[in-house]
Amino acid sequence: MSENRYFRHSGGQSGKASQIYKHLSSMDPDELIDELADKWDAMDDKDFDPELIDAYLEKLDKTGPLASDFNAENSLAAFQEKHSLLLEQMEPALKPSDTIPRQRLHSRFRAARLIATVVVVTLACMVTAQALGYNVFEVIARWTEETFRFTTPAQTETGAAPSGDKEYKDLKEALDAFGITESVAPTWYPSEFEMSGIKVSPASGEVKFRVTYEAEEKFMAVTIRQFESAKDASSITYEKDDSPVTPYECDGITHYLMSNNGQMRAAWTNQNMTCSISGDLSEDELKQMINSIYER
Amino acid sequence: MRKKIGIRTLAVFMVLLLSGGMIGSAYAAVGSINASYYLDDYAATADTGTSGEVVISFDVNATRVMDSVGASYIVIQENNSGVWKGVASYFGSTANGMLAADTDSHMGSITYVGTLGKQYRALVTVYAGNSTGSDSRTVTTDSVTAG
Repeated sequence: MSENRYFRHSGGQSGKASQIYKHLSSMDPDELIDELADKWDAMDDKDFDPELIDAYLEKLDKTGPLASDFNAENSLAAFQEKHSLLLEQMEPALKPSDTIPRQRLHSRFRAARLIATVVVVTLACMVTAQALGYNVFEVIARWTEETFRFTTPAQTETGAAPSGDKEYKDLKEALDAFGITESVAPTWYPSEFEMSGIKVSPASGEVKFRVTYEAEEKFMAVTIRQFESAKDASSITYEKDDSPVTPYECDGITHYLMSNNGQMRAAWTNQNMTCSISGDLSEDELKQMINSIYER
Repeated sequence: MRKKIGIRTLAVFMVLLLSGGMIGSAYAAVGSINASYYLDDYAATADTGTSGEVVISFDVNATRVMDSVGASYIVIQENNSGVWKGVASYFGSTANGMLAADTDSHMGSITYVGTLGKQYRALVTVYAGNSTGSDSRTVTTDSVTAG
């Protein structure tokens, strides 16, 4: 338990000292810190080896010195003055031989340990958040193994909505009627499909456009929802299975490809709209439909 | 030695914590894979109208044309000192407009007149079904204050 994995405390220290220095001479500061940390971890109060630690610190001072404006003596004096009462109370318990190397070691390791702790905790929060469905790197979309949602779509005001009763020949004509000029309507779809219906549903705070296509047993739909508020946009839940969501970039917009029990879907946002193409399509067909939206 | 144990224990604890979180998440997903042969996407929202009106809206898209699509059940809940309690419920039908027949999508809404200043939300069960089967999900809307 008290054995040092790298350096036995009893006997032969001087003989090994030159080997240690030779070993350290080939290391850069990061390697020195890593190895020093390992040795520090392996030591306890019985086999603590100040010579070994000093060798590392000395080498560290040479290869990666502290900032030149840092004055250890002044810093120590200020610290002692600030905590003089506490130090007076603790003084009898401190041995001079213990305090000098430990203070030097502590000043470096406290900083390193603090940084390491912050990094670990930050990573832990990020990974845990990701596991819980929050995408901390890209907050526009979040998904689990079961569902997919957009959470922070852009907000812009919508114009006065015309009635949804009018019949439209295609999606573009319907979007034009509502003053929507952004590219969201595919101009290509697999030739086996025929458009079977187009429905425009203006509602409070939202206009929904849905075009459906059918081919024998197959079905697909293009759905565009234009919202007045981000809150309503984030209320949509897309069903999906546990296969991964694949981002597909096109014209600077990320389209999220996913499947729902064999049906494919692409979902994306553009301005204040959430859009989707879903149905009995292959991934290639889905990508071709997406590409066709932006062809000019 | 105490330091060694402390640092390593912290590291092991963090690894176990992360692993546990991911295992738990994966287990939950495996245990309740949703996906749906009937429901494609859906939404439910709560908004306020005039004179204490609370408007619950829903929007359901099915994976293809279904015999029936929409909201099969809506429960309005009122917040009383932090406790949500059901105060009204609505069963869906084509007659009351919560469900639509022979379609692939349906939007609708119901209006409940609440007490001014009280908080309300709704549990909306969205539904899609045909002769081969059906599927439903229950969505909780955000809460709104009747005004």
